[in-house]
Formats: sequence, C-alpha cells, structure tokens
Amino acid sequence: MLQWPNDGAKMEGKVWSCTEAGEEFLGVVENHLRVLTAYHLLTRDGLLLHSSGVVEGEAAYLFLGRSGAGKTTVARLSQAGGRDVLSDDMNAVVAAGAKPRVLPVPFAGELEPTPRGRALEKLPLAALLRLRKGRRHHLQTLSPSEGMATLTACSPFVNRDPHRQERLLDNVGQLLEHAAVGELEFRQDDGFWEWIGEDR
Amino acid sequence: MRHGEVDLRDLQEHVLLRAKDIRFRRVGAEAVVLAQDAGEVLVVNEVGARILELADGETPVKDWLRVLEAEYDVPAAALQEDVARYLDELLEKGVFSPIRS
Repeated sequence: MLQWPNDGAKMEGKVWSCTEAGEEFLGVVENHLRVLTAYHLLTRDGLLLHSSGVVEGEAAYLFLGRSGAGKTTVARLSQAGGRDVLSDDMNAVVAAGAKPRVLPVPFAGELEPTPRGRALEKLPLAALLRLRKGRRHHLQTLSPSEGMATLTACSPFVNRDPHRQERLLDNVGQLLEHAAVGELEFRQDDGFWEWIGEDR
Repeated sequence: MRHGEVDLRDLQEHVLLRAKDIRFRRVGAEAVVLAQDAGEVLVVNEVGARILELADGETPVKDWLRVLEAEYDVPAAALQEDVARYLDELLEKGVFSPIRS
C-alpha cells in the first residue's frame, strides 16, 4: 500500500506479505520500491525510465523500450565490448538544469550491473535512444512530440496515474529542453556503437 | 465526406469533448496524447492537435472546419478528409467523450 499527499511532501509505504512467502517477499519489496522510486523522482524533476543504462566514456546512454524491445540485448552486447552497465531494466534521470544526470537505481532485469556500474553515483546523460530491433544499425532523431511520447510511455507507474500525468508531462518537457530522443535500429552485434559514436 | 466509420455530414451539428482520462500536451506544432484507460500514448500532427483543442465541449464540428479552413492553407476537401480520418481514429481510441448534438 502506498500513501502520499498530492504535494508529494511525504510518502509512506507499507508491505504485507505471508510469512511463508520466502524469497517471493524480496520481489514484493523490490516492486514496491520501484513504484516508490518512480513517484519520488517525479517530485524531484526526475523520471524513472524503462531503459538500459550503459556507460561510454564518462557519460551514460539510456536505451529506452518496454519489455522485449532489446534493452538487455543492448546491455549484453555493450558489456561484451567492455562498457559498464548500470541497469538493463530501469534507470533514473533528473532533468533539473541544463545538464540532465543519470542516477543508477538498484533495479536490474536479467543482467547484473557491472561492478563499476553498480558503484557509480551520478553521470551526465549522453543520449536517450529508443530501441528498435532490425537488420541494420541506424540512428535517427525523433521529433520532439515523438520524444515526449516515448519518454512518457517508458515512465512506468506514474504514466497510468491520472493525478501524476500533468507533472509527468512537465518533467518530460523539461528534460527535452536539454536532451533529444533518438531511435536506434540495431541488429545482434555491438556495431551500433559506431553509429552512436558518429552522433557524439 | 466519409472515412472509415465516420461521416462528417452526420457530425456537423455534434459537439465533442475530450474524454476525462485524456491528457494532451502541445509540443511545437504537434501534440502528445495520453489515453490513460487504453494505456496508450499517441502523437498527432498539427491538424490533429488543433482538433483536440477544438473538442472543448462547446464548439460544434461544423465550426471546426471553418476554423481550420481559416488557419490552414489547405483545400477544403483535403481538410475534410483529414478531419474525418482523425475523428475516425480518435473516436475509436476513446479520446472523445460520447457525442452529443
């Protein structure tokens, strides 16, 4: 159960679980924390994004997509190429100011973060890239409206809450003032980094 | 002008209102629409964004066409085709509340 006033000044969460739940209890707690984190970030000009976070140089790339979009695949390919992975499922970005920052969160999917990825605290956002599986590597910029639609669709929990959607659109708009969203079509090898590199 | 299930001739006197669960935000000329119940996020072009603004629960559809014709340098037939197409799509997705005339 989650409770919080509309001003977001205070949030409370409670979890009830059967004592025989065993390991399932951890999953319940983690899911609870995911929801809390999404709501909390919204009050801090931030977003919790369904994304795979990869470190290249000293900045973080967020590959956006819902389940099945290829987030874990991109993370595995990037890790195999020597890059650090933050999370292959969810990452936080704070939009405040002209330099959006990526904040790693402890919510991994199938792939564990790399040790350095786990230890990092805050990184400049290098790019937001919506994933599309394909037969080639190709990168294109999305229109601002497509970017807003992508970020909104990839903001779990809060994008289904009618009391948070205005704030969500505000935060997405704020982020888009300083970061564009691209679409990365990729095939099953890490050659997509050459395309991303050309965009840097 | 018919497009899909929508015939603009039948809707001229109707007044449409954006559904309560709809949020939309202008982004440049286009707009993003959140359809909460359907769990969808849509992008509409300039004409679609203007239609969403005109669906204010007061302006009848026949006035939409007058407004759009005044604002856009597009042949009337093409504009009607656009409006019919958008109405067809947005009605299907539940973006508008039930039509009243």
